[in-house]
Amino acid sequence: MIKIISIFLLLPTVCFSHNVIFSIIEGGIGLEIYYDDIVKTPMFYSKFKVFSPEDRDEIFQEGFTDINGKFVFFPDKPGEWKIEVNDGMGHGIVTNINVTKELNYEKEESRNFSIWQKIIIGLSIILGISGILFYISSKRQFSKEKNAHS
Amino acid sequence: MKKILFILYIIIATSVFAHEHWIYFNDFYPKQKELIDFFLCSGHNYPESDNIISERVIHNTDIKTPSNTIISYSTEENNNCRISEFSFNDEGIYIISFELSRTQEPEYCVKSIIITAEYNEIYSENSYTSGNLIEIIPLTPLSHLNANDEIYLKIIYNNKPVISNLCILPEGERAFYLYSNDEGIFSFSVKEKKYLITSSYNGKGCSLTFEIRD
Repeated sequence: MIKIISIFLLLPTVCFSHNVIFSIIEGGIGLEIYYDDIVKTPMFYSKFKVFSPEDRDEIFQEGFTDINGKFVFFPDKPGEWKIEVNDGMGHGIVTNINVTKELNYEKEESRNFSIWQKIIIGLSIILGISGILFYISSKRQFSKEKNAHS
Repeated sequence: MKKILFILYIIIATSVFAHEHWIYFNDFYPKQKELIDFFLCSGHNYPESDNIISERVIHNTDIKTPSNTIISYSTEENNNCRISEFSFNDEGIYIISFELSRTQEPEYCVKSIIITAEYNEIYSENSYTSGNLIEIIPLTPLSHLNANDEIYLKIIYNNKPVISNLCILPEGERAFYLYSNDEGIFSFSVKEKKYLITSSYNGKGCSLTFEIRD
């Protein structure tokens, strides 16, 4: 009789408790964030926010990049997803990622230049402008000398 | 032609190239017991701050008093920087510092030197140290410096002098660069009142702000 009463007493506590289980999921869209220095350093432990295509105000996901500057998110609808990453010290990135109907990342041609490409472009612009300015200045000097001779 | 090149040179030289962090006071020689605001700044255009440092990366916000007592200060957002306030009650030298880090190890150590207005300074290296992983220490008493005097400083990392490249930014003037010698020492002639000096070693950055009393 006591045993039966004990079982009945235990039942309510069994009903209210619940277990937590997990399953491993594959896929998702992973991003790797790094500082665009000559030696690429991961933007580790930096805060990221993900916004869905439908709602730019409500955060879909937020967290911190891992020690290698990486994080993964799982979009639940296609469209242009907005990503914000900030290291809290003045460096950050805001970018949009196109997600297909299959909820995969739509690959785009990279529009970012590497640091070396930037240096070469910068030097080319400086040399180009300097060349034009020197050409104008030498032409002026030439015409002055020509006028002086005539 | 020369004018264009000169303007370009001035624009480039007056900017801080790397993203730096510093502490700024309107007056680095405050009166005793006066409540003073100071600013935690970040950006490329000293003395103007470009962005607010996130609270989660700021650690060890300390003020070292003349009696070597450490007092913590709190900060809050204010326009493009963080702001705090402090009353310098004792006469002497105060070291205001903070560290930026996302892990246990500091990534950037920021320091500023404050000397109370009436203090007749007797130089002591200890009074200029914060104890941070990387720091720049004046070897000349700041409050005795006059315009055109040579100021000597040294940079230490983990309590050891290091050879490092330093960016010297006089307020309102163009930046110039120096190397410390193998004893970590470097010097320059002071022309302006307020200075920001920045450097980095082994991937860790540091800055020092101070003012010449003159």
